[in-house]
Amino acid sequence: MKKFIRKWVMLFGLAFISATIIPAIVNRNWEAAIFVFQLLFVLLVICLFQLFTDKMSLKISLLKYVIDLVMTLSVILLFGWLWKWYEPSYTWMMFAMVIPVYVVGYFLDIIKINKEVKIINQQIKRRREIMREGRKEKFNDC
Amino acid sequence: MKIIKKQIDGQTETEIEIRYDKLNAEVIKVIERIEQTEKFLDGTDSGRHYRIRISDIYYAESVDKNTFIYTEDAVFRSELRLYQLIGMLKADDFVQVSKFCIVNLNVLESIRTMFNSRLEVTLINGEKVNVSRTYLNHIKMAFASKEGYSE
Repeated sequence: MKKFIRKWVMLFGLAFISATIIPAIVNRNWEAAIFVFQLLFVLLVICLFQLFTDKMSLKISLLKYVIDLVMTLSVILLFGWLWKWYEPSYTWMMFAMVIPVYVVGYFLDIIKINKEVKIINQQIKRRREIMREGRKEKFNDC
Repeated sequence: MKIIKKQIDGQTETEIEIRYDKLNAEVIKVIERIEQTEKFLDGTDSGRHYRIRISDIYYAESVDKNTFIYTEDAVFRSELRLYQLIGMLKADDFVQVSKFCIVNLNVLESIRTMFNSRLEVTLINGEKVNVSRTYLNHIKMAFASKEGYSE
């Protein structure tokens, strides 16, 4: 299911880029395409920063999420202001767009971690059972 | 698998002979386990030198560029850096759980997420070790590879 959704979203992204660039080339109107490239660049910056915070070993894990959110908002507000994505009086709209996406991402992340923890606990249990059986066999042999 | 044990009077050194038709995964695992019990690392405690059996090591961590080796109830200082230990112990059921720590898979009791989104493993002696979420997949894959399959 996860692979299916990933493939679907990836195809949507590629189709979106292609549907913006091809008409831009044909019509020689780059206005929409430039926005798509700006968005791609901003997402790249955000992903690179998250890659960096992933590598950091923070004492408080929750701090990572806060840093990620602050950084995401800062990058979007900065580049948005630079490329005039929003009017200063509508800055709140950027928050309204970023925060819900981030909160959903955070909870999806928590679900993923809990799932992995469950798998590892099963692996630990299985290994302990194997080791116990091995010890029992050894004891019976004696 | 058949295990034959013989007690011989006057035998000075314990000998293990493995007879097999093909060197398959099971045989390799047995050999690795035997070799593991015979591998040692050097450590110091209060100026005295010790040889620590690798299978007795619970975990090793790096604190302020110093490496410490923990067994069930003792702590030793190692001259080796953590990355060197990682290279040496990778084949011996050890897995990196954070930037500063490696743990013996055989002494894991459980893993849990904490309220502040941190992860923690409990060892069989009750000790708790922090786990970085970046290394979560390493633990999963280490178990999978030791069990002879991958997801």
